[in-house]
Amino acid sequence: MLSQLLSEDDYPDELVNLYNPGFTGSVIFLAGHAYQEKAGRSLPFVYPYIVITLVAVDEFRQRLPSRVAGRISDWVQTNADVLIGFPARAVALKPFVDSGIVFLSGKNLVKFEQDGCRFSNRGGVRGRLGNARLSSGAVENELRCAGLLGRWLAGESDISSVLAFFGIKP
Amino acid sequence: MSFQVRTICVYSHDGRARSIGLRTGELSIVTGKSETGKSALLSILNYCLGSRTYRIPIGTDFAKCSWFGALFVRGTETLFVARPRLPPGQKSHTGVFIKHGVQEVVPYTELAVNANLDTLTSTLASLADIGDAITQPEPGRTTDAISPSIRHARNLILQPQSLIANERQLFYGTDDTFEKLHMRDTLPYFLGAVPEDFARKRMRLREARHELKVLTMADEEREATKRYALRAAAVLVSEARDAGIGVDPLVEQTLSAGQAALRFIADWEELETRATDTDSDELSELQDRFQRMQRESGEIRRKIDAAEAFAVRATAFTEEAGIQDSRLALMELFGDELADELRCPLCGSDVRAERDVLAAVRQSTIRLRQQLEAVSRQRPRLTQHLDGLRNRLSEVERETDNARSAIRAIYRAQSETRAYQQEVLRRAQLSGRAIEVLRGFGEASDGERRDNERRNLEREIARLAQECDTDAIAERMRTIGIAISSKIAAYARNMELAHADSAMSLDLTELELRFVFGLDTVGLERIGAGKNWVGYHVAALLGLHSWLIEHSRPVPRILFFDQVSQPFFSNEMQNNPDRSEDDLTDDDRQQAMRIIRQLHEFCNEYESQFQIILIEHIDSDEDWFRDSVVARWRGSEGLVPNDWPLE
Repeated sequence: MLSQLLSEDDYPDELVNLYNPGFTGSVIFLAGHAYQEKAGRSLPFVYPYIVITLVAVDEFRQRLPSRVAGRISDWVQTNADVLIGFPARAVALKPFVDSGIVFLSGKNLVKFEQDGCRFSNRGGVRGRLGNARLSSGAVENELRCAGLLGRWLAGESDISSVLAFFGIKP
Repeated sequence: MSFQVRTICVYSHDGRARSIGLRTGELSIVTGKSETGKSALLSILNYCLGSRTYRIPIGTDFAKCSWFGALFVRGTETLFVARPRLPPGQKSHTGVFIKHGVQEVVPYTELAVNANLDTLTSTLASLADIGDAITQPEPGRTTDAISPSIRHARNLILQPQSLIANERQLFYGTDDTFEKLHMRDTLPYFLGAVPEDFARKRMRLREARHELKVLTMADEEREATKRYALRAAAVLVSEARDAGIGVDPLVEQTLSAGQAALRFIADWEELETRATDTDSDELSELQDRFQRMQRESGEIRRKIDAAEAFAVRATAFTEEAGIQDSRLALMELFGDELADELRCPLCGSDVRAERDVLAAVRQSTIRLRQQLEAVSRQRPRLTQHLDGLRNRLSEVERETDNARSAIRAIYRAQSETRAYQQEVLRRAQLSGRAIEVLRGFGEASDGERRDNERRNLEREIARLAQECDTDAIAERMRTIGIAISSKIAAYARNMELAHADSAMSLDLTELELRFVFGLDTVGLERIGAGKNWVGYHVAALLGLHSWLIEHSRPVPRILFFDQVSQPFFSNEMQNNPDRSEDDLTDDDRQQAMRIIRQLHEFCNEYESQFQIILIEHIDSDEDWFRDSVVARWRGSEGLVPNDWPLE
């Protein structure tokens, strides 16, 4: 968790700023809502780690399609050269994803159910995030990618297959 | 008129002199027994006439002598010559004592070498009237030209014992091949068959022919020069027209047209020499400025690069910070509310510490925004700084361009000046070449002067060829030979010599007497008997000298015979020192006396112009004979007195 990282003296401010719980929470929140809407079920627990890694790492995000088209497996196969380091990146980002989920939990925007995370739109947060005018267009794009990934993952019914595509062992 | 000898003398080592007075213009007889030094008189005369070889006997008597002398006379002119005795083993000596104008033998005390043999030779030649002619060897001969000298004349006057009855050799010294050739070469001069300056004319003829040949070659060369000059002129005219010299094309291939064109080129006024408009100081100043501008431009560029790099970094920071700020701002969208308890959704553990994270994020957000604000404040100043640098860079680049343009303009001007100066130089070179070729025209055009020279040379060659006609000389020599031969025949008849009535001739080429018997001609050796040989020697010499006297030729007026009676003695008596006329038969004595009388008559014939010296054994009571005797050595008397000390 991020709190553990911060206890280390030389942990850089930039990482905290970039992967602060507000940002990771926003991405998980928007992806989760999009997933829920399309798939009609809770977001599997492991998906926030995949979503954050694909959105927050520039070289992965830049290869993402602009809209949902085709299967994730095809996309993974086409971009195998870039995705080689995906598992290691996902592991490195795990503390930030954890903090994001805790942050959403502390805000009562997510509940943990048997099959995954169920997101609520308490206080109209989704609307605020969707209409947010940020100084950085790049961040706005990252939020858009989060929704896209939620909808894309909703098209995949087999979680194990998705994990296998990205080389992640549960 | 040539010279004779008045006295022959010897000197002792202690200063005494013994003189033998000789009768000039007459016959002088030295008679006496053998080994009294009579024959040495001929050797002494030869020595004093400049012989290089010392032939005086080496006997005890002559060891008592220190010097030998002779007094020569020519009219009132006298020349005394003395030469030292040489010790046995020494064959030649060039030291000579000569003294002009003395009437008596010079005292011993005066004797000292005061001249060399060359001086003696030239002095005697002058006394004999031998000119400075140079002989021309016969064609095909490899010997050098020689000057007739007293040495050659000497051969015509001496008849020693060994020669006087020699049937194969008529003249003294001609037993030596070279001496014989020299005599053949010089005889035409001594006999007067060729003029004094014949040899010089022959040389001049040869030179003139050479000069004519050179002139002919020069003419050919001149023609070649003319052709070359015209070709060179055509080329020069073409080049000159290319160089902008306004000369008309050379159409007419004549010397005058070529000369006119070349003079035009040679006289073409040179372009005015133009100095460079810009002096080197200005160029130097411009180059300094250009380099300064370049340095400043580089400096400004480095500053701009640094500022731009800073701006890029600032922009990157702004962008990066903007991303961070945007991500941080997302947290604010969730509101401040937060559950009291924070638990891990996976393991349910208490993660209250995550609140500290939120606090840290808030602090980080504040710091980030402060930094962003600071960057935003710096940006206008950086932009202003960059604008200033860029403006200055533009100015500097403009000035650099101006300086570069100015420098290029100067270089261009200098290049034009150089091209101009090269053009001036080219025209000057053309002018110089035109002058040079014109000089060739000059050489080609002085033909008239050379034609005159050629005509003069041709006339001179024709005249000299006529004067030096060797055929004409040969013809004159034949004529002289006939004249001398008739004299010889007359003397022979007078002496009642055998075959005196035969036709005979003196062969001036082979230097021998030839006798005609029918269709055959024979030499003296075929006449037989020493009595005849000695008679013909006398006849030949008298015939030759009669010509020399009558034609005033430059040979001493002397004939020296050593014992004409020698062949009349029997062989055993010839070696007897005490032989006398009593040992001869009457016939032989009469014949010998006829020869001696002929000598006397010859001197009378030429009335004191000629001197004959005779060494004889025989004596006579005839008045003319007795009057002719200048020394009669009987008993112990001789040339060298007995009481003279040895050295």
